[in-house]
Amino acid sequence: MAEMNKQLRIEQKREGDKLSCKLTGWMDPNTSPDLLNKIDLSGIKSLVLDMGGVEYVFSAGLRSILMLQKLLEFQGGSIKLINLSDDVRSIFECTGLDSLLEPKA
Amino acid sequence: MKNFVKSWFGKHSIKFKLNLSILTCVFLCFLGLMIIISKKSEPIIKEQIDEIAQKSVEMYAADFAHLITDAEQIIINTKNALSQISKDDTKTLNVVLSSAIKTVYHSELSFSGGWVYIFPPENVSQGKLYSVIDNDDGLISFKTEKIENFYHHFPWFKTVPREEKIFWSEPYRDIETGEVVVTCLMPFKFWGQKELNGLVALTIDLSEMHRNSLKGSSFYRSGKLLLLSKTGLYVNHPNPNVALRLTIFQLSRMMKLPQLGLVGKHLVAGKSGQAEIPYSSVVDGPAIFFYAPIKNIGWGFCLVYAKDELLKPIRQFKWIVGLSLLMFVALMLVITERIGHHSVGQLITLCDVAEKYGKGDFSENFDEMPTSSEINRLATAIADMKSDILEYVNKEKEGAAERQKNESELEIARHIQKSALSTKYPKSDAFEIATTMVPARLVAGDFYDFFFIDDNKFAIVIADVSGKGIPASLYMMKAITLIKNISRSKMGLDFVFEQVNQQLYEGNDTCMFVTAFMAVVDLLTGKAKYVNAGHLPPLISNENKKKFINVKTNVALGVYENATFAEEEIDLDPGAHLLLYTDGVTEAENKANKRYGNERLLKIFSKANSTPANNLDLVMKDVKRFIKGNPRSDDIAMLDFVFHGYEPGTITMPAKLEKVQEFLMYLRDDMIEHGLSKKAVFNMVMSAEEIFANIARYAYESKDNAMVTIKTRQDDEMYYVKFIDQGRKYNPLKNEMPDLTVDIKQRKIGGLGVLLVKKLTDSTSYKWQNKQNILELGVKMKK
Repeated sequence: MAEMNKQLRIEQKREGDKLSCKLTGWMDPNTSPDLLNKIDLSGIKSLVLDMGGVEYVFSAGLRSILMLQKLLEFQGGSIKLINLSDDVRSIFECTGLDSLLEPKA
Repeated sequence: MKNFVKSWFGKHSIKFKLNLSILTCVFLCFLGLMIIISKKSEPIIKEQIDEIAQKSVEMYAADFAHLITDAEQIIINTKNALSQISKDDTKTLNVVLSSAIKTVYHSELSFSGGWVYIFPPENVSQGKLYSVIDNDDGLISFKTEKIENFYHHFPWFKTVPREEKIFWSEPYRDIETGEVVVTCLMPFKFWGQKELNGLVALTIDLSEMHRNSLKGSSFYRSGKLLLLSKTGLYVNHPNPNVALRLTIFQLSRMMKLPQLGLVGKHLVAGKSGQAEIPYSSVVDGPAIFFYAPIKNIGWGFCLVYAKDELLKPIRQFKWIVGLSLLMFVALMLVITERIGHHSVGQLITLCDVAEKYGKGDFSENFDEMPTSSEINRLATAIADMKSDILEYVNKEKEGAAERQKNESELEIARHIQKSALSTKYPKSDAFEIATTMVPARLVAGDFYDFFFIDDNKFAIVIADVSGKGIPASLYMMKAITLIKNISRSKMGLDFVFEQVNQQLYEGNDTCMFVTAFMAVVDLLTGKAKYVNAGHLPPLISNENKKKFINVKTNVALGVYENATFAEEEIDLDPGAHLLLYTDGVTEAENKANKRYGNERLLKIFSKANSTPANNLDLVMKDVKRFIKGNPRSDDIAMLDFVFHGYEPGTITMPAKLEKVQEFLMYLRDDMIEHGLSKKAVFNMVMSAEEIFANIARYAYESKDNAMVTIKTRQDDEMYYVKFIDQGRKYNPLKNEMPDLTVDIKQRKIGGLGVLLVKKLTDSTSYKWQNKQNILELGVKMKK
């Protein structure tokens, strides 16, 4: 049971108006609000979420990402998701949110 | 229909009818009353809730307005005092400021500082700033300092109108403390000056204030208080990227929620009210906003509740109304019972005595003669009847004694035989069984049997002994005992029947024999082994195909020495069932000497369902309909066995969001163990999360005993997860789905979860059964 309660770890790296966040863990109803509460978007024009360590993105996670996207768009910025596993990518594709992703290599 | 009611009603006692009539009238009246009360009260309760919420928000607004007035008064007083002193009188300036700040400290204002800024002769950076130092010991001192970075500290500084009027800044974050503050200020002139000389200002710490008020406001769990500035800017918001950054109008446009914009417009126009918002991130769902303006400053408060929670008292009210109706009916039941008893009591006494006479108990006499004349006549008639009957009975007794002696021995035999047949059906989730046995005479030659061989192996037997009556029943007793005992050896069924055959053969001088069919079902795997000894082939319904099982006939038991038997095997799917029967069924004859036959049996069997007792009833009724009163010439024995399948994958856990990860881990391990493909596992985990979270969020009123049971099962192609909860009736699969054709920038945020479930699973089903929500998801094992 060592795996119990996967938290969402967010490592932020800011360079000027660019912010990149490396996410690790699950994006479920318990962990997803952290995405909005821990990422400070002030003055950010470009947000890159590195999803390499994200195993699952449930609907609560999708909602948080959509919310970030709307907040960024308002301040003239944009969001990009990179390094998605094939499974997670399929979730974005089937909910029509794949325009947030970088084109598949 | 009318006849039915009449005959049904006629069957029951006067007392029952009396009770029923009174009870129905009272119940209907009261129900009507309850409905009226309920319908009338609902809007009143709703109104009251709304009123409480509206009053609360207006109270906050009034308190805040009070604060604003206080602050403005201090500023005006200070400004007036400053206009009485000359430009270079620093000493008096200090006295004026000191008194102003003391006023602040003695008022209810929570503040971070007040200061006076003196306009410089040339440029801003050389201006003098008298700021107030708030010492911990409560003493106040001043220091004069130059602020190099004035604009940076006070972003609104440039926008202050250069006229002697009160001005309120927009809320901003104090650069030193990081708290949300707002500044009230007013330009002033020293004594005898023509130009403006500086600003007098007071800064109020808002963060402290709305933190305090938030605690007080939560008369429901989800209530959140939001403060909006005069431009509609959120002073506070649970999402830090909204607070002090976005206005309600901007959020309204972003989220495509025109209702939000309307709230903003109302507040700007100084109007209070309430509004329903389809999705608010404050409560992560539908919300109701109660809002009130703070008139003297043009700001506003919004009190935000989850819509669901606000409706809770109404639901509770309905429960209370329903419960009191039930209690009232129970009370009426007791009362009418008493009334009924009183009014027809004598009649009932008479009935009781007459019934006892009917059963042969003549001990009772009419000690207390009833008083009313009709009942009196009845009583006399019954008493006369009693003496006639007693006379007749005495005569009859003598003749009957002889006959009884013969019959009672047969009766004893019947009892012994009956007790040899198993009657207690075992309770198991894995299967269900029912049996029936109708002898043509008092004792029978047919029999069935069922028993566990070990924990997971269950045996069913049907057999028919040649001949009828006592000899057949004796031979049957021997056969049933042998089969059960030798089965316990756990050897193959071929061996079991060979042994039984051998022992029945030995000493079988009367040349009797037994046809028998026996099956042993492995409850874990559904594998059924069976053996036949000259018996009719049973019927099977497997994978919805209904047919006679293909059996090797073999020879009947007890005919040949050293006869051999073959064991065969068949797989039962969950839901499969077996019907074992004797020839009393297929060979039942009607008056035209036609036999019931296999075709009819197969046809009626095709209507069978998963309840064994039902199925036996179905066949029995069909046979009776066919023979139409022709007396049965042969015994009938039947056994119906329904295999539900073994369900190892069942867990029950609290329906709480915190448990979602634990549940998904369990589910994932189970699927990996069952060899599902990686893709299938992922898709099911994604979908199961949505359903679990839905149940955790919405199914239960109270989270205390909220539980959800999850059952997993699989067949050749699919893996299924079933969710069972006892919450309110609710099918999440019916939720609205987002329009995918809309550009992402225009997309609404809700409804994604249902979409995921529908896209990722290969089957979904929902039903409301036994007050439970039963929702099942299925994925193909290989993807």
